[in-house]
Amino acid sequence: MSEMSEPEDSFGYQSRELDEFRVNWQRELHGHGQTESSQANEQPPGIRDIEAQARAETLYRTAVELEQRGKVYDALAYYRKATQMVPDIEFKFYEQQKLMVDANKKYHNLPGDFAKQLDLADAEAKDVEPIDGLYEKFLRDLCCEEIYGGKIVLNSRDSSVLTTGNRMHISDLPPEIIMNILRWVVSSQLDMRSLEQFSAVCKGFYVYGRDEELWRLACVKVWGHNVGTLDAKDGGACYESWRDMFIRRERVLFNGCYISKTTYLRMGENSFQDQFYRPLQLVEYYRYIRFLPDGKVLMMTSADEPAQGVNKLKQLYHVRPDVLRGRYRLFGSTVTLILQKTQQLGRTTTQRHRRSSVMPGDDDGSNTQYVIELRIMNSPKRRFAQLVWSNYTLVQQRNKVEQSSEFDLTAAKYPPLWFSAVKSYHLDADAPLS
Amino acid sequence: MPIIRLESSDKEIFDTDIEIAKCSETIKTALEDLGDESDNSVLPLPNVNSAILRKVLHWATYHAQDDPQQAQEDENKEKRTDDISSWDADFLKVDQGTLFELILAANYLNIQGLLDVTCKTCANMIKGKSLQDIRETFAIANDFTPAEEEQVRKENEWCEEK
Repeated sequence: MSEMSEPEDSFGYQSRELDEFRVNWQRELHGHGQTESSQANEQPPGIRDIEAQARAETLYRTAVELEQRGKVYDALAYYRKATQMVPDIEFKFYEQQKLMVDANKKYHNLPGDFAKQLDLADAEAKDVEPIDGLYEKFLRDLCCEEIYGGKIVLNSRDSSVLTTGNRMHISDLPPEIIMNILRWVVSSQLDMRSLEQFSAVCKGFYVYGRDEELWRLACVKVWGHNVGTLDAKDGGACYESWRDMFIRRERVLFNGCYISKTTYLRMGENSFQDQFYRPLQLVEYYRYIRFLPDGKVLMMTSADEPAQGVNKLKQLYHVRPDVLRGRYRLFGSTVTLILQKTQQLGRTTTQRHRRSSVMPGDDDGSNTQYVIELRIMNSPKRRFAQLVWSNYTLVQQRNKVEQSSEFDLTAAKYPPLWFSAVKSYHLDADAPLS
Repeated sequence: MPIIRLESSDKEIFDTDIEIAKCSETIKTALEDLGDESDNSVLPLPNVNSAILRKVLHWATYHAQDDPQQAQEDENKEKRTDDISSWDADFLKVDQGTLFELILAANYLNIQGLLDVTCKTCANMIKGKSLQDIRETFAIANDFTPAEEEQVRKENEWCEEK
């Protein structure tokens, strides 16, 4: 009982009482507990047993925590429940803790051994140890590059051992070819996720995948002329690397689209026969915005559920008539969209306008632009996954007179847009990153 | 039809239409340097073996024919490069070793079209794949220690879908 590594002694009277209780209780349990456990041993451990043990463990852990905080009486209740479920929970819990400690020891010894094998300095090996905190994390990126930097050749040889016969292996390709392939992997869609997967394959690929030029090109694609520098010269944030900028600086996500759902009630027409019958219509529509890395943006409002809706924004070259096209620009945490009203006035266009309401009448001769400002926000799960409306203006040009009207951005009509990844958007390389 | 004799690394001679051979910037430059003396002379290509040179010339012949039409289409349409033509796709249904050799040959001979389509094919073997897939596809040994692998995973976590 007392071999548990709990600081019981320091609690004086309370702890002694607890010990006494435990001893008595254990004795009490011994009688019928034995028969129970022997029964349990006979039958193979079913799912129910495993579940019970897991629950008992949780209870036991809570009890230990409570006891350590000095709340002995509260702890008693949990100990009792745990023991009722699994009589020998204390023993099992202790064994498991020991196992976990052992595993941790092994885990932490590994990088050290490896460093010795490679004749690396101890200080460098320590840098590889995980450190929490964003800044240190990115500092370490650079350290990692230093450590792995000289190993590309070694690594390539390691890999080529695996090839059979005299067939060529990817490690036989010179660095400039690999970089060329990576430009195609990233492609103009900025598929950095695939690049990151590539970099997690082996040390050599890691070095290729962290290539600053690739990430710089990606940043230039995203922010254009406003890309700035890594240091805070222009008043912006400081970045460790171009990759760091790509990850942290506010931007929109490209591998999917932002979706919002608007629901509103609309009064229907009065019935002629029955004056008291007034139908209420529940109108539901979705707004889709897809950003492309080259500064283009597509927007569509549609009654289609996202499963179908996202497919309508898949085609970039033959854009459907009900999709608005335009350009966007990033300013700090704001993204500004300028969307051109589609020229051909199909039935779908007018329908869409009626659905999204309050759009002034369509005039063929005029030039109509929608100017939208959205604030880029993080969701708990993902950076930049939410866009909040901050301005929506309609600019009409008729006979060289510019007329602009702002929309009232009520939360009900303009709920935030949430990002949703769409796998089919990034399936194939379209053009190399340049 | 003017002919140029191309010699592969294993000394096989390929009598080639000069216009087709010129899709290679390397050969084109060599011909310009040689001037008129190039008639019936042999141009050695020590970095390309006969099997690969045959494939490269096969590709060049096909694309020499469709090039003018292609160029016209490109001007009319908005340029789109996300489709590998079905002919190219069939042409590139080769084993990985051959694909890499074609990439190297296209690079050495400086044939941009072939380099693009081969690199793109290779890139599509990586795009959207998990790191395990990539390891298997290219037969790459995992040389990370568990701690290092965990570290890399954490660094790359930002782009993972949750």
